[in-house]
Amino acid sequence: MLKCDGLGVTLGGQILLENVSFELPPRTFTALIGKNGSGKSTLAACIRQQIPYTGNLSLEGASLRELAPRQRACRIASLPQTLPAPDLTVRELAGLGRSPYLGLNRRFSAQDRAAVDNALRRTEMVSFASRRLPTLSGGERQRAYLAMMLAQDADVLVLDEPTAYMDIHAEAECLRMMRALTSEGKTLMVILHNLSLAATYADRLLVLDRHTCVFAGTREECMRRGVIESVFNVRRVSAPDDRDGNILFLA
Amino acid sequence: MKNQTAEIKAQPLHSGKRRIPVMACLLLGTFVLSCTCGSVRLSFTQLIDGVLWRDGAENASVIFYYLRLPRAVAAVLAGIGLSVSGVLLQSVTGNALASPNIIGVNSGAGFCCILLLSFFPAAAAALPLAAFAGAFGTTLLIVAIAQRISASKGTVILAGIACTSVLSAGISFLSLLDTDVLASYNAFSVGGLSGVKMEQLLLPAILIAVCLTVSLVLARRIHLLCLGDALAQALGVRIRALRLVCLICASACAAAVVSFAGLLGFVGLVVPHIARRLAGPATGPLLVTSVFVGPTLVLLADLLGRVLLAPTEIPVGVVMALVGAPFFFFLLLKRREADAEM
Repeated sequence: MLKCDGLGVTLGGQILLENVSFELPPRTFTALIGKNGSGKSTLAACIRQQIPYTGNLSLEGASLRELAPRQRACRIASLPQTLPAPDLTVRELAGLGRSPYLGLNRRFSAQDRAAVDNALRRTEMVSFASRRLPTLSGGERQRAYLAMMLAQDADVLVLDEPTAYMDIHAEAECLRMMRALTSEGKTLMVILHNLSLAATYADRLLVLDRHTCVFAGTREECMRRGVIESVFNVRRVSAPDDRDGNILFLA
Repeated sequence: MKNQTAEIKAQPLHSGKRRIPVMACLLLGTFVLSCTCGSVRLSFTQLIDGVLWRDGAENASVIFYYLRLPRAVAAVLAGIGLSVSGVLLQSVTGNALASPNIIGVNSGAGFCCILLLSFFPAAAAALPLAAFAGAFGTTLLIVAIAQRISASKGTVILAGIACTSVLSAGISFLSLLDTDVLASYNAFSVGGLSGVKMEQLLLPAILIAVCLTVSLVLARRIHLLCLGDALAQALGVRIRALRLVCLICASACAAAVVSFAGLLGFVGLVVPHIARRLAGPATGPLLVTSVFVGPTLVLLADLLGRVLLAPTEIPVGVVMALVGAPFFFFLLLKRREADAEM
């Protein structure tokens, strides 16, 4: 279980996160939502140990600060918001996800190759495997990075707006794939801006408002308490002809 | 699904062809050519006789062991050192135009040399040592400044530019005070391999070998920097430490070359670009390819400098600039065409 206890971040005298506490139970899909500037990406950067913070972040009782970077990378995979397009093929990029596992000779084992193949298959990037990243569209590039992250084979996945640039079908497919990952033992924390998708696909919701956590719990409880409506000033509507139980929010 | 599996198996995990034997032969050929050509031309047989100290081939032996061999070895070392430095700097700064000059290696070496010539003109023999101390000292200063602030890509470059400006101003000031010093400094600043002795090359060779080994061991982690700091860190890279180690290796390599070849330009900038076209962007193959391409290029430039206006010599730095700059424009044009095709 990933546990965050009293997390705080202050940079240049400005408070970016204050007293954030929550738990990510194993095998759950948690959507992290909040208005622009509420501290979502800062929280993801803290989990990556990219910026200094106060409080504690721990995984299965072990403080993330004390884990060696490679050890941490084997257990937590993280995809930041901005993704570059280096001159690599999709397959080479996915292969980089195996970096934390490679020995001193840096050679790929059969297990590494299988993990890369599986990741390409899961993200439906097999036919793009030999394409170079600069030639891909934004959505395809996003999927290529997802393949890299899956190849990393960590238990906890933290993704910052992974469906940005994806079309509506790719976005839904991607979220379905992420939800399926929980049944394979993965724990996901995904930053999403689309409130309807977050409430439809995630098991749990983590809501940040004014740099602090105002709700962390199950989707049902969040809906019952009307947290999203009050934080985002939106209203929940029912879609006509909807048989899948999709949740819609309108501004 | 079956089709997908077949397609996966058909694709290698790493792209790139095995070019090492071809590049090794090219380097060897250029090395031999460099040993035979010059103001006194040696045939291949004379060269072999000279190498083996055979009777009647004393002249060839002297030319080979005291002139051509040290010069060719120096060219190889300069090529390797500057190329490795260029590859490392371009990788850790994420800037394709980064070269040893940008982190103040050249200006630091130049400043120390002109300082020595101004205040201790009798100690001209210590010029290589001063160059090394200046180059290495400046880089350590830049690394210290960058580490104190953030050690990010931008900080390193900005700190390098700031230090280079201050040191260049110092060079200009000292050269205004004494015009004789300026003449001596000019010869050093052009870069050349004339009069290099084997004894001068031992320390730089050890330094370059150590830095190359460290770079090759860290190559895969360095390659992860192309994904940006956040992703590289998420993949288990200690960004700050890696960047500092790379900067120190890059500066040590360049400083080692400055100590015997002066301020040789363009190699550190051009070679990584050529190597990238041959081996792709992965740092490991890029370093290995640069180790062959760099020396070949410097050997050829030195050879051209010796034979074009023989017996007058054109310093290798001048030839590198004359040939290197148009070649670099050509590479940029090709890259622009490739980008346009995308």
